[in-house]
Amino acid sequence: MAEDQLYTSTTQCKTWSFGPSTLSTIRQNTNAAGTRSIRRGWKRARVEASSANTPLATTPIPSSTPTPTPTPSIDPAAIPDPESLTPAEELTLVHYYMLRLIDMSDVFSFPSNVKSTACVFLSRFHLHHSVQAYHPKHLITTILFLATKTENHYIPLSEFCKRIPKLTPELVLKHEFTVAGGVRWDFDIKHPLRAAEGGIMELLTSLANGVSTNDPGLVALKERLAPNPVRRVQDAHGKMKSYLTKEALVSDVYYHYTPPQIFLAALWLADKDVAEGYIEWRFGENATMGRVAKKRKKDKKAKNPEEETAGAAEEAAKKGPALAPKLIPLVASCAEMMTGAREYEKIPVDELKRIDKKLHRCQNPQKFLGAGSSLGSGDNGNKKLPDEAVTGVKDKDKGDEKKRKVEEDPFGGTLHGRD
Amino acid sequence: MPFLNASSSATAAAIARARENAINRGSGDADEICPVCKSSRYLNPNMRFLVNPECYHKMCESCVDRLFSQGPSQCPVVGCDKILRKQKFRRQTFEDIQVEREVDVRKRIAKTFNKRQEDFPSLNEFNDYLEEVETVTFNLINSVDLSSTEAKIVAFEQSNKASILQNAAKSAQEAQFVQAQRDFDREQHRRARELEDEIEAEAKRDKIEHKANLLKALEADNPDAEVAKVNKQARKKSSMRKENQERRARELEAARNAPAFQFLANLNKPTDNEPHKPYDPVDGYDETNKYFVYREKYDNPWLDGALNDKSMLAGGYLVSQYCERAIFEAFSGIGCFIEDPPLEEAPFNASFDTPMADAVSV
Repeated sequence: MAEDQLYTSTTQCKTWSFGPSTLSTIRQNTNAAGTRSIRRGWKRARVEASSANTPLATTPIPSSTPTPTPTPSIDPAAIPDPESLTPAEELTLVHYYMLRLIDMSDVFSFPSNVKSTACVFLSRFHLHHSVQAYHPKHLITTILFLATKTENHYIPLSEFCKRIPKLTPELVLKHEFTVAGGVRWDFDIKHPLRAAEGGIMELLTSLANGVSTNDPGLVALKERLAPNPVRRVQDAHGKMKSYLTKEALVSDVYYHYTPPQIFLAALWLADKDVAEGYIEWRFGENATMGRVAKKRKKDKKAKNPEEETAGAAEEAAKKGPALAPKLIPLVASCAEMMTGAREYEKIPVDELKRIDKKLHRCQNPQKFLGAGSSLGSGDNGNKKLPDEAVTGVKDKDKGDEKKRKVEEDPFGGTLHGRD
Repeated sequence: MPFLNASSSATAAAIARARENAINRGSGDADEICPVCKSSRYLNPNMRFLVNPECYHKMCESCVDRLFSQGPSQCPVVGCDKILRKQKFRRQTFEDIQVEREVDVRKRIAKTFNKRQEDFPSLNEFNDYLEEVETVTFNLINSVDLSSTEAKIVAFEQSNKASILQNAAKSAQEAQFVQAQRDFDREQHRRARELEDEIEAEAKRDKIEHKANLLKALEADNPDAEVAKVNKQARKKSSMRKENQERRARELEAARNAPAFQFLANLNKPTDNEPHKPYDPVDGYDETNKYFVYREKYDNPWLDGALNDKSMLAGGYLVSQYCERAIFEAFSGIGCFIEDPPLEEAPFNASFDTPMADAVSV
């Protein structure tokens, strides 16, 4: 039982594995929390705006602000609350940024485990933190850099920043604590990558080393993959890798399935015969679980047939029921979920722009209420690089300066004025 | 002026004396004043302060005598409407009255909530119980939800009367057992020490006697023969003594191993019912693999380079270890099927995300 026991003791199994309905409940809760915080922000901004619009407190709007400020005559109370993002829209955005994360990782040519870890971090972070509270575009560089560290693939921060335009070390490190806390400090992620290598290795070795007559499952598998089983497995191996580094990441399979199951699903997508044959060989009714040599010895020892059958029954009882009947539909459903990831690649840019615009309105109430200086540091309206938008340093207006000070203070600013 | 001077010096002397008194008595402030009769310790150095655990208002002994000798009466402190009885008054143990009160509350709670760990199926549940008890204690100490907390305690007391009594009896028995054990040990130590003293004294006595005998022998006609005789006698005596000592030490040892009191053997020792299992350092973790048998060699052209690459091997990299790990991971978790929890269970604790998600947007 060692294998399953080890996996069930990981945080991935204990805190990051859910059934489908649980996962959607969590996403809904997170979305609701994000929506609440947006509502609060708007309420606050509305109060500020109405006080700013009274003739006594006319604060001059700095001309440097690039925001389209509405005329002060607009009554802030008349502007309705913005429409908040739905859980599906949040998910779309997260998946879009996962794809960006994969692209970015390819620019650095990071190994696939760094890439995978980064994607899982982003997904896990936004499982409990609404996109409406933390825009993923501010987090992806931080997440990628954190992933290089947790996967032991060292790259100096200055080097890292050189490769992405307008990225500074401060920007990368700014959100590191938030992200690390957001993934609950669970940095070790069990990927299906090494599992896949192991599985393929075993399969190839068994196929190449001639068929032992003791193992009918292997004979059947070889017949199924004829004429050249080894070649076929090697081909499937290559394809499987690409599934593991894209489709497996940009979907929810990490929450619903264990690494070996994901690996088998990727193999299933690459070559259904190989995957199905492999499962039937290893986990079918007569599977030997690789214990060929041991069994033969036992047979020799058992002289009378009665003893032999008793031994076999005992072994069967120890093994438990065959896993294959349960595993095959499971792997098939996992594979189906992985193919669903392709939908996210096909999402039109217009749709993404629409969501981002909506989000922009949610996050920057000041701009739409005419409260004067923009307190929100993000400047999503302009199509800048995601990294630049976080800075807010360039704006010299008081509000920004104050906020920056508050953020830089290790103990936070005064409680007054921070809700 | 001189008059003033004299008086102030007299006062200073008096204060010094009072302070000295106070220090000698080991009690607090020298100018302490009884809040009820306003008489100060300066005038009455032997004044003792008492408190009543009803309301913990401090007053001097004479006030207590004066007010409560006739029977229960209201607390003289303004605004306190507690009825106090004289016999409940006692000396304050702790200087801080809050600490005094907390200790009393804890004593009372401990009497009622005397469940033990073995009453619970697991440590977690026991810890939950302890936490709840601590909450009750905290509420009582800080006067939070007093009425509901009291109601809770009474309800608990009513429903757990039998087990409270049982546990109290158990604790008493344990205390008795410990006390008896301690007394017995002390007695044994005393006897061992006595034996040692006796041995020492005897040895000393023998030595002196031997010396005297020697002197006597030297005075005799043929000293050599006499001296040899005396020495032989002394040796015989000392070997006899040694034997005697050993026998007594053995007796003592036997007495130490046997129970000193009959009832000690009959006592129910605080035992756990389960027999002791052999210690398992890995807590039941099974080394044998369920799904595979590791082979000595795997075909993997990708790893062939590493097999002979000195730069890899020098660092301690072993291809076999990689293979083992990879194979292990290929099956680690294959038999786990992740499903939704049953409906009655809460899906996930949502309190985790709220504070973070509500933070200022980045």
